[in-house]
Amino acid sequence: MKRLLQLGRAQPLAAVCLLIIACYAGLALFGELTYRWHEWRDTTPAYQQQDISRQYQPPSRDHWMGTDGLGRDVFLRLVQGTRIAFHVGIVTSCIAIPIGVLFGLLAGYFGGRIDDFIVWLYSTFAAIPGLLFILAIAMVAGKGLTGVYLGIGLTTWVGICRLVRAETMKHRERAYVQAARVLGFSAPRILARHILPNILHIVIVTFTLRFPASIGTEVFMSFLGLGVQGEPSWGLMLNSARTRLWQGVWWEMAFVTLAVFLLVLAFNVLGDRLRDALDPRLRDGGGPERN
Amino acid sequence: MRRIAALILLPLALGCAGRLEEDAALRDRTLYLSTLRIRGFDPAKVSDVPSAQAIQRVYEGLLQISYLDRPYRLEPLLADSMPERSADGLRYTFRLRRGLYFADDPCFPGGRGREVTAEDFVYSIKRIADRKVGSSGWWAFDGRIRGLNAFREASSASGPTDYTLPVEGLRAIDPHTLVIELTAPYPQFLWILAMHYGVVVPREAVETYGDRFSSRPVGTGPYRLTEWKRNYRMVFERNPKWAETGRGDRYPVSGEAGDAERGLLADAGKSLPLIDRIVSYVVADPATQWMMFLRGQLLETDIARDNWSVVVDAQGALLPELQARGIQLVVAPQLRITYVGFNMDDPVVGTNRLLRQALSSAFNAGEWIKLNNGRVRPAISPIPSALPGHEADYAPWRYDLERAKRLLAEAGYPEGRDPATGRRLELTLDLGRADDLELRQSAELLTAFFERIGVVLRLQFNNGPAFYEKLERRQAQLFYLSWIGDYPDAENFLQCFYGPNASPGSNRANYRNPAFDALFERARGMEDSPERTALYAELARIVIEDCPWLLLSEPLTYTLHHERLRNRKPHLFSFGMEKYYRLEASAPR
Amino acid sequence: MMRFVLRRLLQMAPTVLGVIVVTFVLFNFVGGSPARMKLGDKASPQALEEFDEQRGYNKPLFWGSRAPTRALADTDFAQQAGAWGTLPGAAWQDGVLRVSAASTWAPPFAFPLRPDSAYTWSVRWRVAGESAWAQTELSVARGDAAGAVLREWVGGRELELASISLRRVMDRPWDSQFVFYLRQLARLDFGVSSSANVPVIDLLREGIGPTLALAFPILLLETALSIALGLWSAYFRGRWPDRVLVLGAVVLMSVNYLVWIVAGQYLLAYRLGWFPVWGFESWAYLALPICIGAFSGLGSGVRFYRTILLDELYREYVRTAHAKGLGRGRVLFVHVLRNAMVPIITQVVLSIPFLYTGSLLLESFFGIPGLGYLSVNAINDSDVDVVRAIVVLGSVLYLAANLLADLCYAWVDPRVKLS
Repeated sequence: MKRLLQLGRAQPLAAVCLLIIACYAGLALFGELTYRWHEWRDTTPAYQQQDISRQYQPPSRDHWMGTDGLGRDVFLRLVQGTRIAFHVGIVTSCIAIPIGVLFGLLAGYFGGRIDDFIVWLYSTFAAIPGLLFILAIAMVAGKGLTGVYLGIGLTTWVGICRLVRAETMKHRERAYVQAARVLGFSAPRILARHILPNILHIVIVTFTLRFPASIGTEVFMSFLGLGVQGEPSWGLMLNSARTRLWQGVWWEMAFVTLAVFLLVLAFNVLGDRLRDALDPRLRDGGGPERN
Repeated sequence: MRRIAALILLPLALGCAGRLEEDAALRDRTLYLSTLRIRGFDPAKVSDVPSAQAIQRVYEGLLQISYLDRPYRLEPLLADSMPERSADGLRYTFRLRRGLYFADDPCFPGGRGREVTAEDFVYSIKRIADRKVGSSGWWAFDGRIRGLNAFREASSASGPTDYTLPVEGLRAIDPHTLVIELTAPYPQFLWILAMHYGVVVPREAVETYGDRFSSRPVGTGPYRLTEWKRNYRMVFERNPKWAETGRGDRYPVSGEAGDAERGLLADAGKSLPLIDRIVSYVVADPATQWMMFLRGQLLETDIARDNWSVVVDAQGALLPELQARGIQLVVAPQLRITYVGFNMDDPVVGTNRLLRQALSSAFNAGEWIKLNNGRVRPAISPIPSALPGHEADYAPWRYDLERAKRLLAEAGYPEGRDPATGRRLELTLDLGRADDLELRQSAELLTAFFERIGVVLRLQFNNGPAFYEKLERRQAQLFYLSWIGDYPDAENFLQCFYGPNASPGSNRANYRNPAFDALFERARGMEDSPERTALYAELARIVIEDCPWLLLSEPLTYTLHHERLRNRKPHLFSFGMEKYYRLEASAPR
Repeated sequence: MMRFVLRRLLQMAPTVLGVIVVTFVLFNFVGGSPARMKLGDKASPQALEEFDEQRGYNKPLFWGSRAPTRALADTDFAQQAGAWGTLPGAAWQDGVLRVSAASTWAPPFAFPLRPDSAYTWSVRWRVAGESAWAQTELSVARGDAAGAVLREWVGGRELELASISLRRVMDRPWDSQFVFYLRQLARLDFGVSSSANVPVIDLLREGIGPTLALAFPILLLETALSIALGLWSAYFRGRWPDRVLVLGAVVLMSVNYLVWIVAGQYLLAYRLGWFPVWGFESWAYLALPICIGAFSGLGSGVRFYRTILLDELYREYVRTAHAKGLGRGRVLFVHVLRNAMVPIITQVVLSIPFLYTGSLLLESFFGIPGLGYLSVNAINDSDVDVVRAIVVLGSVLYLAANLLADLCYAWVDPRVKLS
């Protein structure tokens, strides 16, 4: 708590971002609990309740953010969409980061054949047009969240792998690693105990920067119909909001856009600050991303 | 180096986008339409509606469906008259019109289109039977023409198919006489000849263009394709061969009662086609279509569900401001039934008729129509309301929540509880598109209907090929589909329940009922008669009772067009009908 | 120079092979059958099988002596009876198929088996009434079109079947889809599109023009604007114009791409009528998508170039230049910019392959018939050949661009030696 306050004083912007992210995380947790509760009770949750007689109602006291084409409450669905966004952000990171870190460590530490193989592997993946590759993997893995997780997870490990490999190569030559080697420690031990803690900041920074990117990609994929099937997600909501937008049904579009924007902004600003604080030399993997 | 790169890339980019907008005079003579993506111009290979529409502007068959007359009847197109039929109903003799020519094309010697002969029809039908072509239209001819199946067997031999191989039931007696012999009486066969599978293609074009025949159509029709930017637009222009060879196709002089009052006979007897040029844009998104229509970039548009309230008032009439702009509304039924199929091979829904009846009773047609903004009619029979055999008063499963709950309890799921798990019964609905919002919303509304009787419906979105593969393997439990009639005869709908047509055939529900099959086989060979209509009605009742389909709705099309577009009569089989349309000069701005 | 290029080309070979393997593996698991797509939903299984035969889709993937056949779907009787349900003399009950002895039935093949191929049956069965299940492989020599082998095997027994499947035996195990595919690639044959019925190469040729017409101006505009703003930002580094710009860049980056497009099309084109809504008739039609494309990439672009320029600003020569008394602007625009050329060119050259893939969303929304639009449609149609061709070519272009970037270094910066 004290440290948080310190942070707040030293980096007010970062603290605000952290607060925003925490709020979203709370909403996501709430969404998850709601989902589980209804799953367990075998009932239909409120955010799925339809009432065709109340379709397309503007924001009011009953429905803070209005209703959609099937008379469902936009606010409740928006909250529930947070759950999917966090699922995507966390699960894809859990796929990409371990692969990237492991391969990066191995390649950087052992060099030689292993390095050649891993460099070959990641240059192969890096050469394939990114978004198309993600969409294709998602198709193969089947529609639904699994496809999204695998698609994003299996393509984004490359950047992390590259950074970790370069950093490991540097550390390998450092005195403390040499000393550990002389002492006869095994390679896994050196990697896990000595090198890994020293490159952890890369992982943290990449995580904060990957997270919003994954959310963006999920929105895009759901929009194309490759994403979530039954649960509300921000991409699906944006897509359905689009159809009646120009008849003045602005609320779904506006609120979802705002929600996505705030979360992504918070993550981006926080990521920048973290990078500046932990390792200013780390750069974006490349220039502008394209889709 | 930089300069070189710029030199290479810039003109490339410029050359590709540098087209100017069409000038006003040309715009005035052009019919601007929108279409969905088409799958090419090879009549043997496509099976979707937009492609068939494009194809029948360029290609023609022996017969066509009347434009103005109702009920729909067949009339000769490339044939001189309706065919003579032998007494046993097996042998049809067609006489061809004289002086029919293919459009000019480099595939012909000297680039001049040659005269069409009866041999061309023999070739075109053989081509559909050719295994190497892999036609999607084989189902329409399979087992119908004597000797054609043997030709198909022979075509699987290695090497190019030998088209000189004679087929007993498909002969050109002389250049202008074609004889077709069927294996069994099948009166619907003539309707099939009016479909795009029955059009005539020149052998020279097929052989010259090979794989690319699909993008180089060469036909006899009123238009020819002059430009095709795939996924963007097609341009059709009047086929000059018609004027050159003096083809005398004329606008019909008579029609249905009332056509004259509607101004549909103003052009009676005029030489076709009436419009010089058709531009067809590939626009899938309804919102975009609508914006283009309002800006005059399209002369005609369908009203999508979500545009409804800005077009039509509560009484279903066009809003005054649109009327003032000279926009007209045309409402027309479609020969189409949207349904949720139950896979009869599924252990849960297939064996439990009460469950299917319960789910059918839970379908709330009123809310369904509201979601669709009134653009659909409830479907109560597997035979659409436009066809003989439909019984408007026989609808045992109209929405009734109490009955649905009762039936569900009788089916073994009291209040939806599955005794095996103790939880609510869970069913899965497969859908064939993932990017279609209207479909998604409709399916979500279905989940709400089922939820009210305590049944959980999970949605499974697939893309087209994956969906059909699932159906073919009988792996889908419930599936959302619609059947579009190929011709105005209830047989085309009832064959969806014929046992031998089970998956991978058109009987996707895998419905099998020996009583139904026996009756159907009897009805199939019969001529149109009150007895046959009664038989159709009986068949429909069997299906309704067994509920292999949860009947959803019969869609209507609501089309808007600018007043300049004349002679536009709604048509269930609007393939190649643009030749009857006329454009008035636009008012000077 | 030539030796360098050659060596780099050799180094590229394994990566190209890797790309081919990865795409092949990926796209051969794509759901949906190309045959079904091509022949439509009314085609018979035999027609589908013949189509597969022509295109090599009925072979094993990499290696193997067993290949699937459409003559009979694998059936797990615990789930359903499938085509076996109608078999006379067989009854499906409680998740097993009972096959009785006396009848003269034949397996429910969708079409007769190929006379020139051997097959094998794989059956899980037990004698009626017993509890233990047995698994049997039955091989069928050539010419058993009607499945007599299976009938004879059942013989006079009363059996219960749990599952049954049929596989075709391949004579040469290396006669696989992968080898078929490599051969195709070697001939520069990308196959035939299953949804458009024309060779894929035609589609690529038609699509590349519109894609470049959109993507090239986007790249130019975006790079020019980004560098200009990056310079501006670097010039004022640490002061308020820089801060505002950096913050603005993050804000721009955080707006979802979809929102740019929807808002642009709705507000600028539909509401205000400044641009055409949709179409590809003239440059006017491209203006809006180009602006949206450039604008949406501006945030990350500005940040990227600012970082590069700032990196340069802390170098020795900058200090020297200042010491010589050169003005701040002159140092920045002449010295720094020239020296930052290397990373800038890398960035631009490496973007070239993305020009080719095009912009999936922009093209779909604005009706620009380019490769991006083609890809989206192909993915929705499971048009494997098209997606695979675009991916493989895109990858090769990326590698080529890498090489080009290396060459550019040497051209811009004489200190870099090609070795």
